[in-house]
Amino acid sequence: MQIDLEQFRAVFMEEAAEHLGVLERGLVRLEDFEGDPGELLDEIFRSAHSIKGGAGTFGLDEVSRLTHAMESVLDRLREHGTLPGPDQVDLLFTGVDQLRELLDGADDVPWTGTADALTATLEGAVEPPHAAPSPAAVGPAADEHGTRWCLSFRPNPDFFMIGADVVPLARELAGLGSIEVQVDAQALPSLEDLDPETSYLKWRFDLVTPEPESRIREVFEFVEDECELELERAENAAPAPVATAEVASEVADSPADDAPKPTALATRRDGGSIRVDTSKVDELVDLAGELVIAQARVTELVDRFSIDRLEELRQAMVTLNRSTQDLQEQVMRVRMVPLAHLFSRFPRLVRDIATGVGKKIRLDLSGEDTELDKSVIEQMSDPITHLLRNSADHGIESPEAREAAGKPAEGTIHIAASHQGGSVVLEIRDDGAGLNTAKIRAKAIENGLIGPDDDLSEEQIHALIFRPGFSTADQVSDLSGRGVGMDVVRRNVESFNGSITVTSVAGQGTCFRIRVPLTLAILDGQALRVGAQTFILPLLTVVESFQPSPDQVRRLHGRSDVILFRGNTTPLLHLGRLFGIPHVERGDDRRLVVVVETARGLLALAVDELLAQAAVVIKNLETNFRKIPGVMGATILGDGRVGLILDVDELDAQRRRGHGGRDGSDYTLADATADAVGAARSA
Amino acid sequence: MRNDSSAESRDDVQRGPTRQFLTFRLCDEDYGLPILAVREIKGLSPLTPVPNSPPHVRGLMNLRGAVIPVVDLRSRFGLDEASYGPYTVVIIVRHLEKIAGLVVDAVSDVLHLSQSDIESADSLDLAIAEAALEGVGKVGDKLVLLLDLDHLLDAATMEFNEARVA
Repeated sequence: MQIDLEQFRAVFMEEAAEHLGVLERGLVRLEDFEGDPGELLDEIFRSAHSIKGGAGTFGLDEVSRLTHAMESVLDRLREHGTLPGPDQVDLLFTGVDQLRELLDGADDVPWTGTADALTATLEGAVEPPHAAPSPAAVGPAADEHGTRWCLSFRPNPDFFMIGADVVPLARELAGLGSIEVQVDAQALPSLEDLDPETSYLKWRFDLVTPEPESRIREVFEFVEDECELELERAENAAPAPVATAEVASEVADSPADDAPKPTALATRRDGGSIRVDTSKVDELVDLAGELVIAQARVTELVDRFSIDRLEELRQAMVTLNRSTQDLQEQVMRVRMVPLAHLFSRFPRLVRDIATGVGKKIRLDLSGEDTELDKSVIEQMSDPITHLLRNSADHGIESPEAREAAGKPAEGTIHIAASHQGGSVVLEIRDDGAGLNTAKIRAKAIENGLIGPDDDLSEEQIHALIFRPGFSTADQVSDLSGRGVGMDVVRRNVESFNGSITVTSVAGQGTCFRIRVPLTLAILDGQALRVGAQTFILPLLTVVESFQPSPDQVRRLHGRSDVILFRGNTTPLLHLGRLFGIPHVERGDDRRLVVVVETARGLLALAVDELLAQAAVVIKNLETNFRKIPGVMGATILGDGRVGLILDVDELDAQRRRGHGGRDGSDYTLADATADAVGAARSA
Repeated sequence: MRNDSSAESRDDVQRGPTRQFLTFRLCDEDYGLPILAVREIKGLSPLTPVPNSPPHVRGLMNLRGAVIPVVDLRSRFGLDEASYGPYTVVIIVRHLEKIAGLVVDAVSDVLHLSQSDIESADSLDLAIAEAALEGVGKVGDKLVLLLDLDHLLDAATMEFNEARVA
């Protein structure tokens, strides 16, 4: 019975990640829980249990042992109806981290055994004091004789119908210790009455094992609803109650420090699969049906066309267009997933930071149902994490400072998502101290971003924190100084065509607003012409365009051009030369210059003409071809041709590489090839 | 890995008694492509040149919304170049999950060849530009050059990339 488990493995990994999210959120809620935690514990338990079940199936033993240990802790809490102590929660969090690490590594690294220490700690947390000492609970070095258990096992009549089998169970039991098996065949009918698919037998296992009862029950875990199972200690007249020890005290003793430190939230891998709501698929099917009908109507009209049916045909075309458009929109929606997916990791993050710096911070989330393209959501994780860290670390003041300022000791960070037009707007708002306008201004003057006499509004000063090279790190002790990395955040956001702004009121808080397009597949572009070719520039990168006067363009080292622009010397890149496009002579040599913003500063591009601005659909070049240096993708232009979308960062990098190569020249090897090719082609 | 298995299964299909090839003309010679790789035959639509690419990569074409590279086979094999006209034909092939267009002079017909009709390229020791040749098929006294897409497209679309890196 060889089943290809690989395809299910991917599904399991994905589900396990979701369960971990639920687990983690549950634990965060559990910390401040008041009242009866039963239901919440159930929820957390179920998540752990699902992971364990799957892990068992895929032979991820460490995962399954670790989840099992976590389950035991949770189970004990559930039995007693008590809330966990802070140590226990920490321990469980560590478990979550460890699980995530194990599962993340599951695809490519072999199991290392690092999780076993934690498993032992967790198991130690639930074992009664008089049981085997905790490290031995998992080790094979435990007492060889152990306890004698007597199991009576009677499968339900339809046991075999569900694909269950007794032999593997018996084998697994035998693996736990020494075993004697007796079959009770009393219920077996005579041969003519026997239904070969029905189970009539009953087994009795005498098992001597050092393992705890829970381990024995685990063997029957997946068939427990399909059988009658009695388990008792054979020699102890009074069966020992299943661990009555106080869990809290146990956990306090356990060396949680041995466990690996919680790791940073794992970054998600790109690609992968999407789970789509069935209703979305149903709608797609409906729309596809409509499209077929509309198309059949057009075909029919064209086949028997006469001029008096022109209006009918026009109508049919309108319907066809609408259906096509609807279908396209709906297909785009398939890629949309709710933001809850992204938000789920933040409560934990804020909790950890707050605990780390001794602050009280509440995280409010709203708009989790807002949907965004899956790839956008994946890429948003980093910038938002950074902003949250900033807010929690530096935005929110210490409880004392807050009370002194007449604010509640507990700070609040609010993440809100909402639709606004064709974009989604995410707000990360804190009620902390706000940006220090004077300090930012002073820093900006020091860094030469603004002149000492520049008259800037407060808003303009705040926007300076997103400028490259701006940092107030020297004023801040911690690693993530306010302002540090803000340009990185901005670059991050812009890499998925989003934009970020900040508003801040001193003493009242700061609010970052990230605006992102609904989908990565569409980009606002500026079309431009170089020679006879059309290129698209992402509109977000364009600073301005102008026709330079001859004295604005200077040549350095006889080769590399710069342009004097607003008092700066900006490198000038001739797109036509870089791409080997034959120049179309126009008489004057004063071409148009488009100034774009790259990751490392401004760059001027010499082009021949600016064309229209339009939203373009991005096509991946690597799907059928390969990466083209300096180009981020392609699109279909209005006339049906393919247009290349430029990547300004790469263009800048290409220019810089040229610098290293030939003494201040922007004429790269690529240029040389390009010129040769261009010459060959025009010849 | 995945490529290996798909290549294998393709071979399985082709290892039957006869294999089919789509034949086309290039400079008055007959060439053949494994028919399973051929998706369609189209007229040439306007191309967008690819910056810094070898001359035989003629540009990118819009195939119903998909952006595909178009390779000129005359140029690829170093033959005399022909100018494009309204009858220029592009064979759209699918190879290793990628789609590409091949510009040829004209498409002829479909040829059934059994393995015994095919002389492998190794034994002939021919060197058609980087050995993009699987073998030579014999039909009566006519010879058909059977192309190997592995070499043909890798060389056309990837090799240049590597050369640039180096």
